[in-house]
Amino acid sequence: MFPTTLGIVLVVFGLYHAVPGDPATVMLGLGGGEGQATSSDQAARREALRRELGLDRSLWVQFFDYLGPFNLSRDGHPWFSSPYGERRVERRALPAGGSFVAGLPQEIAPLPGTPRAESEALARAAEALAQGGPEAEQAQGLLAGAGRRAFPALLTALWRRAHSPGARAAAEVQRLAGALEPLSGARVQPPAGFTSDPPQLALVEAWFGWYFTAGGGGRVRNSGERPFGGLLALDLGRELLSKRPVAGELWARLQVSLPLSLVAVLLSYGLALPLGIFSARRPGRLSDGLVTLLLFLLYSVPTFWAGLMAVLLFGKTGLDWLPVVGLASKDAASLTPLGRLWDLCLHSVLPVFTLTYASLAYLSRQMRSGLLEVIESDFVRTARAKGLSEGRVIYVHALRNALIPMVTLVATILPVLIGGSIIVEVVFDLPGMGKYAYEGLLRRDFHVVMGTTLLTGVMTQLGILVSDLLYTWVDPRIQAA
Amino acid sequence: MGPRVPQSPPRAPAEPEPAAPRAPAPSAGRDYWDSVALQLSRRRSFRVALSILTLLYGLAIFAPLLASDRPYRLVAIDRGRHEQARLGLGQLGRSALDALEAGAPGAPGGFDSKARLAGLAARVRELSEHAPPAFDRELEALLGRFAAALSAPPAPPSLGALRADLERLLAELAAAPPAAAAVPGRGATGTASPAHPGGAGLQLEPYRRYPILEILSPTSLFLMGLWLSAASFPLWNRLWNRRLGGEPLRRRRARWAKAAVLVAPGLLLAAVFAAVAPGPASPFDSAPYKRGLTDGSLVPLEPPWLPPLPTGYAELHPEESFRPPTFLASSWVDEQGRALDPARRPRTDGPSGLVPPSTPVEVRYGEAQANAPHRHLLGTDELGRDLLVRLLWGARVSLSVGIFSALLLTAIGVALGALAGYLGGGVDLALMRLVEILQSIPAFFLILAALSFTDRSALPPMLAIVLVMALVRWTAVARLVRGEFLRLKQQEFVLAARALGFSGLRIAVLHILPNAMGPVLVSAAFSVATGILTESAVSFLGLGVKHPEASWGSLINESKSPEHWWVQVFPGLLIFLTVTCYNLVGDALRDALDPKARRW
Repeated sequence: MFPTTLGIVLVVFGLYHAVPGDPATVMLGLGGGEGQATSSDQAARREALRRELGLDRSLWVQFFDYLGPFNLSRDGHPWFSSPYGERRVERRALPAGGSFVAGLPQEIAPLPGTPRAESEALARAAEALAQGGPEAEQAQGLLAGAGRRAFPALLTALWRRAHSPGARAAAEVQRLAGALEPLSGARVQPPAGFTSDPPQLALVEAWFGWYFTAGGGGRVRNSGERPFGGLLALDLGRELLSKRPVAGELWARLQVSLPLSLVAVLLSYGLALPLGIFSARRPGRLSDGLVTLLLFLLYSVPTFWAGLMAVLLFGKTGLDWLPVVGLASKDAASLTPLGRLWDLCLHSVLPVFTLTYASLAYLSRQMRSGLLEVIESDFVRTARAKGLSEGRVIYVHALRNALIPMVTLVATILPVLIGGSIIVEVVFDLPGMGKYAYEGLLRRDFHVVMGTTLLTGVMTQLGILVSDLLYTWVDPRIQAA
Repeated sequence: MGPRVPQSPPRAPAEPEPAAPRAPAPSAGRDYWDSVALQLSRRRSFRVALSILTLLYGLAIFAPLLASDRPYRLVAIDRGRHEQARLGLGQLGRSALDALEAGAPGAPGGFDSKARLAGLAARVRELSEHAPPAFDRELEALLGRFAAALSAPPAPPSLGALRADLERLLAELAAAPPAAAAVPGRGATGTASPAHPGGAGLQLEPYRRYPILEILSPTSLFLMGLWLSAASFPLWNRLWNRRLGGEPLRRRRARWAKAAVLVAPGLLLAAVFAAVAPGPASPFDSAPYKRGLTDGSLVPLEPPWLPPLPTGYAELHPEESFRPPTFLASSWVDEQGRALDPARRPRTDGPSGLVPPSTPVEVRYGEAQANAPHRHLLGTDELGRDLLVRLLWGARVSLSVGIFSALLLTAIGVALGALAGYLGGGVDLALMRLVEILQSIPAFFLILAALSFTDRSALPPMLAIVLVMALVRWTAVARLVRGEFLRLKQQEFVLAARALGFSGLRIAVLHILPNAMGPVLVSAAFSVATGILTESAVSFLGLGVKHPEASWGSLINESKSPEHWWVQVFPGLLIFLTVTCYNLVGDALRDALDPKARRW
């Protein structure tokens, strides 16, 4: 079962990325014309969404982040590389001997957990400090008070000026370096005799080299989030908008869907077997023909249409015999527990019927043809010849053999039932797993869709497993391997 | 073949038979497919189902001809356009002359004069459509003079002559109001032109057009031809067989010829159409014909030939939003457009006692009266579009998605199943693993997921649905074909073929595959049914075809309110009917193709 589940994850994941269209574009509903964002604002929003969802990482990283058990960096990047590219540190050999640790200047994102207002204020302060105007004093104070959180702002300001020619840029870099020294407690200087073009680049590289090695910017380690997560840690992720954990929501919804599906399975078997036996005992007669015709027609009715017709027929505009929306009346809280139970039963009648009728038709047809085939066999003829009553022949001898293939059909109808639950829950507005999946599909919410697909896949496999076990139990010729 | 006639009585056994001996009975020589066809033709349910399906396909294929707001044939004068062209010519001509006289910066031969010339030429074209032939030459000459003037500025006197000629021509081209009793029904209002205050004016020549051709395409013509030959197949097949005589061998050889005859009319029609007809317009472009006929600017000289359902696919009647089927009394409206049935009347605003305003029902040219029973036979949707027309056009989407997805999934399934079954080993193992994974996700789920992840603008929704359904549902067919291949691989004819030195591919395709096709055909028939069901369910959930295309499922999606029952009942009935017919066909095929099946 585990490889198949892994395969399911691969399939849905592959679908998510392989179908035409960028996921972020689809989620934002931006697709227009050639599928490209048609304005720079849309492009910026798309890029922001991609980064937030971690879509700009490589596919393998995304896959393993989902799979777990380790969380790959929540700020959208694997834990061993930095947010905006590589944190490259070079050891450069000096002509006079020794080496110089130089870092690649780049924009440094604010530390996670920094409120946006503060990071913006720090960035402004760094710029003000660099320009050395009247606000420089205030800016210095602000930066000093921020402690470690000031580093990204100062270093980003350094990066902006690293490659600018001219004396002004060099002066600004000097001011920034001057502010960095008391904050970091380190004296960083480019080694004597090491020149660069423009001249301040060496200093900037030296500071970045310090930051990436001793200054704490070397790794982005899970950004304060849990180190463990992902599918192998039984974490199904969070919804995109509401940030609720998918697993908890699925559990709540399952408590609605699973009983309905179980009742549907039991009911369809419970009705199909007698119907099939009834039909098989009178082959070719009018009653058999009528029943077969009715079941055949029932089999061809689309599920959603059956639900809609049920609503039309039994709802407020029709006979008004049954409630058609939800699982409980509006005033359910005021009822006694027994009253609530009865209310629940009334609400479930139409959804269960809509779930059941298709499998019922299919199963009873299979039962009928299976039983007819068994009745033709020799041992039944022998039993009749022995003088056993017809009832005993059918129910004790023939039926057992005819039931064997019916057991394996559980595996066939279970996926149909689970898939059909989407439609039934949408039509009748039930708060179940199908409706949850439908809402997730409309929102293109990856975690919800993946979570529900996984769950249904696991349930289907459990169903197959159960049917295999039942089969080995029912058929004495089979030895369970 | 040999000269021996199969039906001759057997020779004396001593005589050697150089050719393969044939049994003398007339039923001999009937191969597997002959007996399949015979069994199928005997089943009444199969015949009924096939007839209904043929009818449905015919309705879908001929929908552009059956329900459209464009007339088949129109002999009319577009007075509005003519007048506009006349005024436009006057404006453009005068402004060009003014510019030339003033020596304006628009350099001769530059963009300005090119644009002016193009505009003048367009107006002249429109005018010559209705102007009598005598004027054509004059208009051409005028255009020529303008062209010459714009390319090389002439002297002012000739410009003055040009201007005088222009004015004269414009005055002469002013159309006369049409005769009031030209067309029964709506008469167009004529306005006296300023040049002829007495009402006399130019008698315009009508054009003769076939606007319906604008929404046809070679593909649709091909399908129409194909349908005609397929629907009449029983008839000409029987005649042909009678001509051939009773020999099954000749009949079998005629199969290729019959297939060609099946396809030929369609190809012929398509070729003729492609050569002759004007370029296609999208069926969703609003055609000006109906509007012009309604408001009188298009004056028909003969009654136009209208389609049986003279409403367009996307033609809106906003004042008839959600109108019940018009054969019901509850759909009737009064002159202000308010519903007569009290249940449908909008409630008055309580405190003020005001009634919401309503618009009277607009009866356009060719449509039935507001309360006629056949006006909207199946009701309307939210924007007042006729449901019957949309059902006909939606049939094209639903039926074609069903067929194409079934074809594609069968092709993929057969190919992969044959591969796995014939090669065995690692390929088989890998493929079966894949099949297992795909089968443990409910197919409907997977289809919905794939469709929701797809970017709508990157792929047309119909293609997306067909592809996704094929890529998800091929597993059952692959399993089937693989099973058949595993069974047939052990047979002796495969060994013989291998001994003869045929390549693996040839054995698989030419020898084993035809014997494995029986269950595949049955599964294909059922796949079409499932495909139609799935597509309608997906469209119902909103993830399928989008506006302006509609399929039966998305039509049901128009309203989930139980008050608008007609929007839900009728498309569903059609889906139910189609799926039932396909299930019947599949059942009949299954019983006919299985040599061991018992018939109860």
